[in-house]
Parts: sequence; structure tokens; C-alpha cells
Amino acid sequence: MNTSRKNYGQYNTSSAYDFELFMPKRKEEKQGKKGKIVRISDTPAQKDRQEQQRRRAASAALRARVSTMAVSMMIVAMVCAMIYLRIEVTDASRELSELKSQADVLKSEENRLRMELENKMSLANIEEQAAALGMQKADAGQVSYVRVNGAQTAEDSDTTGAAETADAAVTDGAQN
Amino acid sequence: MAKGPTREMWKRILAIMIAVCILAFGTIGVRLFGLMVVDAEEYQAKALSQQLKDITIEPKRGAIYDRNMNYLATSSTAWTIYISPNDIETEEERELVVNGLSEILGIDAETIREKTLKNNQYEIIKRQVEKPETDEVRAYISEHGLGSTIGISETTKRYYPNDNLASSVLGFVGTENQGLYGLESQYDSVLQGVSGRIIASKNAKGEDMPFTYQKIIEAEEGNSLVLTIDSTIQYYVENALSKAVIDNNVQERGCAIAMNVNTGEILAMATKPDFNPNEPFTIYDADDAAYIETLTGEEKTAAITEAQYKQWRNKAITEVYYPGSVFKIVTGSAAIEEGVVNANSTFDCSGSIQIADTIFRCHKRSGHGHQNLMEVFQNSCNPAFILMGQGLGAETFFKYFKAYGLTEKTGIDLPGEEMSIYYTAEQMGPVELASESFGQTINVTPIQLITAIAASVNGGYLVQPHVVKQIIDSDGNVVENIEPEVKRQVISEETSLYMRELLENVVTNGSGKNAYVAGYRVGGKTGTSQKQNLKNEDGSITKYISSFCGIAPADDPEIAIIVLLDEANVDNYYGSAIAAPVVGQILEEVLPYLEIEAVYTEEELAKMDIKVPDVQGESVEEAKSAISAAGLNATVIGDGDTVQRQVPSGQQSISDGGTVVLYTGDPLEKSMTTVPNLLNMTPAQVNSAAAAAKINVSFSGTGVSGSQLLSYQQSVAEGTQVEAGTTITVYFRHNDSSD
Repeated sequence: MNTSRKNYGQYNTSSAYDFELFMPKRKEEKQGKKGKIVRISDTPAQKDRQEQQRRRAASAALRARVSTMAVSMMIVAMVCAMIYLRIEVTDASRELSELKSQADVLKSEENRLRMELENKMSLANIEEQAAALGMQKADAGQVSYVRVNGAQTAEDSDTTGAAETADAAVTDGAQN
Repeated sequence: MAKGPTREMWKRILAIMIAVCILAFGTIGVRLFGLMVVDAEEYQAKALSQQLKDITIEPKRGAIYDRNMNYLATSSTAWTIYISPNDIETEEERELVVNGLSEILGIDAETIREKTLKNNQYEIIKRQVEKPETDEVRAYISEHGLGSTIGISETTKRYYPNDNLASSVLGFVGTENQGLYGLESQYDSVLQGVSGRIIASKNAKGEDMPFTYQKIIEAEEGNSLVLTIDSTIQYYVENALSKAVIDNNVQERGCAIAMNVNTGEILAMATKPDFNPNEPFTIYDADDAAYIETLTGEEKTAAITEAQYKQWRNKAITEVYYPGSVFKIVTGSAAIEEGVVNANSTFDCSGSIQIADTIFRCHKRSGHGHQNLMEVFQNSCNPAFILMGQGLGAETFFKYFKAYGLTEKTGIDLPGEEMSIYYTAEQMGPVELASESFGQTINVTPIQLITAIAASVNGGYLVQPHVVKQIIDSDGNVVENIEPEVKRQVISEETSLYMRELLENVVTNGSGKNAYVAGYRVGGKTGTSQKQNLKNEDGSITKYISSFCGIAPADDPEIAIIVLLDEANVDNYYGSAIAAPVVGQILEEVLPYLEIEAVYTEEELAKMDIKVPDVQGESVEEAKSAISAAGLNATVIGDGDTVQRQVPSGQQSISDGGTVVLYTGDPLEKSMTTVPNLLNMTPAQVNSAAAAAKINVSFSGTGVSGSQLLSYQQSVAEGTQVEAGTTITVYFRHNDSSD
């Protein structure tokens, strides 16, 4: 107990005492409470000024509230827009992936069908079908050779079934 | 009363709170340090494995094209259908699975039922299912709610659109699309490509979250091969070889190679019988398949494996054989190059020759008598070539044997090439030298021999045989060009020039007559070798390899073709009789295809078939007159005045004296007839039989006159119903018994 140096002899009895008396006085925190100042009366001018101040304060407060709300809504809107865009992009990405996958499968199917066609168009099949249609391979007599040595036109000059030679078609004045 | 804690009390409280905070947060801090610093890597890895999805992207296997960019092999997406037996809850569900998959996939229901009774979550029902069937399975799953029981996963399937064509060269792939044989195996690393990866964030459900994190490493498609093989030439070779193997009852398969003699490019390589690479594990030999059915257990498994390897083996490079008289090209060219013999050299053949204590017989037991060098080649006289070998001596003979590349593998870009077997110079006594001189005792592969023969006629240059000429990427850009390579010069150009003349004479006047093609200069050499490793109990050898190697055009060769028939089970097994005609048939198709001009002699022109006049639309009298003027006979069917249709049609060729059928009534009317037997007949007999049956014949293989021409093949089988006037091709050959 930290007591100040006072004469406490008179208290040195067995009686109960309020110990607050011995405690150092605490500083009361100022709460910012100010004593009420009661105005007894204001003049009309003062009343007007007060009213104007009151209105200005109210107006300012309203503006502050509105701007706060506007900013909040803007933020919410932006967040919503971002989320929406993200959803759209994710959806589009998924669709792209699916379409790409479909494209790969179709490309592969096109390849498979092309191979099926190649199989049907194989030399063995062609020969079999041609024979069934009564066709025959061209024999030696049906083949004519045309030798073109820089000629412009081919003239049939030999009908013996041997090689037919094309005469050079560089005639008078007929230059390239 | 005190209104609150005193300063001292506050201090005490503060101290205690600090101590508690230090204790609590300190413990957490230490733990956090442990997790975030000490064990950071371990937990990061765990987090990544939980948060990231790692998918492998299978690369597309490269394609294989022929030299004209026709597809020989390519890959496409396919699917594997599997079931999860443990997820089958009711018998009704099991029946749905079994019946549905059995019907859609064409698999025995009991086989599927057995799989549904297994205790696991993954049983493959069918691999490499194509899209139409897969879509049916998907629809079935959706309809019956079997999503947890039947699964579908993506894979790839290899397609060979031409079935058996070049199967022993192409090879095939396994279930994991890895090359198992042939080019698919040899160039597996080129064709396979590089797998890609997709690493993406996944949520608690395992779904992708691509915008949180995604990294894609694209798969690199495999490169493709462009071969030197020409599909059309390959087809002609396989066709002719296949017929020869069947007609001559060949027991141990036949093979053929067509090669560009100047570049070493392999234009065709075939072995028959072979297999379909779309289903390589099926046994195609009916006898082998029937035998395997009688076996069980391990014996059956071993027999299946052996039968599969047998049908996959590329006989042209994986098996050695005694080359026989075809090898005489090597001996002869070496002897000419060394000056041991020349155009003026003469030989006497009495039918045999003795070297040391061994008597070597000629195939003509009575002997060829007195011959010059040209005749020695023409007659394929064994004693003459033995003398050439003796004249060379073991060392010089071996020097040329080695120079021709016969002591080493050719290095062709195919797997499984076999090595030759031979005597070295030190091991060769006079008997071994004599035996090797005419192609016995040594064992070489067909690819070694055709490469050596190409060198003998192309100016003397030993070229590198190869099957791939380009490697291209998926966009068609050339990654690598394989250029022709000359290993060395073996003989001089003068000797090579003379060899062409000698070989041409073999076909024109000698044992190679059956390889002759009208309008073209063809050279070659026949061969009939005994299989000395297959002696009978009494020491005799009754198994032979019949072969022929042809070159064309003989004056400036572009192509060489070798045909080999192993153990032909026919009376006349000689190479001249059964192998030479095969080369002739091939050249008859291939030379026009290669746009090599035919130049006919007067004799050939006189023998050419007659062009049928086009008389459709003419009056019957005018038509008959035109046909008669062409040396042909007309048969009129119907009562009309105008020819509505003719068989054969105008401009087709038929033999002199053939029949043209003129339809004067309903143009759709057909007069049918039965094709008679036209085999083992002379040309005159064939003409007579054809006229009686009201069909026409076109003769093949009779460009050279000969007294022993007999037909051995007809293009339409006996007993077939055809329209009257149809032209049937009949093939003739000289029935020589020459080596």
C-alpha cells in the first residue's frame, strides 16, 4: 500500500475504514465528455446559423452516405462482372476443349474412312471388278508411243504399231 | 473497494499472457517451420499430386507411304471397351452387359460372361474398336445406365489399307502401337513420336480448373516414311509370285525382289505365302492352322509361335540358300575381269568333270560338247564354270566373292538380315572351289545375290540396297533424304557391258527363254540348286530351289528381278521352267508401267494378235466383211440387221483366226459358254479348243519361237461361265529342263 506520508495515527485502531481513502487518487480519464452547456436562449440569427449548419451537416452526411453506397455498388458490380466473365471464359474454354476433341475424333474417322476407301480401291479389287465387268488389260497392239522432242503438235506418222514420232512443229514463222 | 486491477496486477496479467502466447504460438511456429521449411518439398509434392491432373497425350504414329505417296500404313483413333466386374451388382445387370456387348462387338457371349465373373475392376473386352461400334456401345451404356460397369478409353489403331501388300516388308505393330517387325520395328523411334502432357489444376471432384493453372506440352507426331517401294510393281510381283507358289506346289515359300540396279532402290519385295498385317497373329497357312487345332497346352502355344514367326519372316533377307547357277554370273564376271576367259575362249563339256577325287556332273548328262563363252552361259554348263573357278584360283575367286559383298550383310534397312555362309580362301581346297564356282556349297541371301548381279550389269558398281528413301514430318517437310550410295566398283565397265550381252543371250537363245518379253531386251540367268543339307537316307537329294534373276532392258539395265521357289513339288522343278516364266510375267507388266518403250522385231510384229475391227452400229453384212478381212471369224446372234454389240469390243486384240460374236437383237442379250481346259497344250491345240468353245485367246510368253511351247496358266479357270467371244489370256513356256 502506497500511502502518502500523512499522519494516520488517528486511524490506527481496529475500526473498519474505507480503503479508498488510502489509495492514491486515480486520474480519471477524460472521456471527452464535456459538461453540458445549456444555452438559455439563442438569438434568431444564431438560430438561423444553427439551422443552416444543421442542414449543411445533414446534406454532407447524405452525400457521404450516397457516395459510399455508390462506391460499394460499383465494387459489387465489378466483382460480379469479373465472376461472370470468368464463368463465361471457363464455359467457352470447356466448349473449345470439347469441340477440339470432337474435331480430333472426326479427323481420325476421316482417316479411317479414307483407308477403307483405299482398301476398296486397291489394285487387287480393281482388277477383280474389271474382270467381272468383262474388261481386259490393254495389250501390246493397243499401246502407241508418242515421242515429243520439243514439238508443239504431234502428228501420227507411223501406223505399224511401232513408236510414232512427233515432228518438230517449228515451221516457217511459227516461233515461240 | 478497489474499482479494478491495480497496475501491478495488470503487469502480472500482461506477463502471464505474453508467456502463454509465446508458449502457444511458439509451438505452432516451430511446427509451421517444420512443415514449410524442413519438409516443404515433400508436402509440395503431395499437394501437387492432389491438386494437379497429369494426363499423357499419346502421339500419332507416323504413316508409311510408297514412292508415289500412296498410303501403305497409317494410324487413327480407336477405342478400348472394358468392363468393371466388381461393379456388377445384379444378375440382370450382368445379362445386360453380356448380351449388349456380345451383339455390338461380335464377341462370343460366354467369353464376356467369364470376364464379368472375375474379381477386379478392369477387364478388356475388345481393343481397337472403331467409331461406329464405339458409338453403339456409348448409346447402349446411356440407354441402360451402365456407366459404372462398361468403360471406354481412347487408343489408336494401325491401318494397312492394302492388306497383304508388302506385309513382310512393312511388318506390324503390337497392342501398344510399338513396332514388332519389318519397317515398323526398324524405324520405330522415327515413327513413334514423343508423348505430350497436360498438367492442370483440378478441384475436389477432379474437374479441370484451367485458369488456376494449366500447362500443355503438345505431343510431337511421329515422322513418316516414304519408301522406294512402288505399290503397282509390288502388286505385279506379288500376283505372279503367288500364282507360281500355288501352281508349282511350293513347300517352303517363294520370294521375289525387284531392284533398281543403278540406285539400289527396292521397287518390290515379296514373300508368299505371307500374312495380313491388320491381323498379324492369325495363322494363314491352312495346314498349319489345322495341325495347331489338334494340339493343347504348351505344345499348342509353341506351335502357334513357330507358325507365326514362319509367316512373318521376310524370306528375301532372313533366309540363306544355295544360289545354284545364278551364282555363275559372279564366277563368269570375275573370270572375264581377270582375263582368265574372253569372248574367244572355248570349252568342252562331256557331261562331267573330275576335280581331285570328286566327280562333278553337268545338268546335261550327255554333255554340251564344244562351246564358246556365250554358249557356256546360254547352256549354264557346270564343267565350264568349274574350269573358270580353277583358272581364278581360291584367292582371286574369294577376292571377287568378297568384293561383290557376299561375305557381309548388305546393310539393308530391314531387321533380321541373315549372314552368308561360305569358305574363306584358306579353307577352300580345289573341290570346295569347284563346288562354289557353280553356286553350290555357299549360302547367300536373295538380297545379297541380286545386289551382286546388279553390280555385274550396271557398270560394275556395288550399290547399297535400301527400302526407305525419305523421312518426312507431319506437315510433309523432308526431314531426311536417303541418297543412293555406291560402296565400291567390283568390275570394270567393259566387263559389265559384256556381261549384259551374255545374259541377254541366255534369254534369247538359252535356258532363260521363258523370261522373254516381246518388244523388250531381257537378260538373265536360271538356277536350280540342290538343298544339300536335306539329303535322303540313301544320300540322294530330292529337294531343290528353283530361281531366276532377270535384268531389263538388257542393253541398259534399269531393273533386276530375282524369283526364288523353295521346294517346288512338280515334275519339272528347274528354274528355267518354273521361275523364269514368273520373271517374264512380271516384266511384261512392269516394263510398260515404267514407260520403257517396246520395240518389236518383224518376227514379233507378225506374231502379234490381231486388232478386232470396231463394227458396232454397222450392218451385219458390212461387219462380217470387215471381220473376215482382218483374218477373224464372225458369229451372228439374233435376227436384226444392225450390230448392236460385239464381243470382243473393237480395238481389243485376239489371235489370228479368233471369233467375234455379233449381237443383232437385244443388246443386253448374252450368249454364255464354258471355259475349257487350256493347260499343257501347244498353241495350236489351245486355238482349237478355244474356237470350239467360242472364246478367244491372247497368248503370252511366246515371243520367241520354240518347238516345246506348252501352256501352263490360263487367266480364267476351267469351268467358268463367260460370255461367248470373251478373250482369255493363256501363258506359254518352253518345257526345258535347264539349270
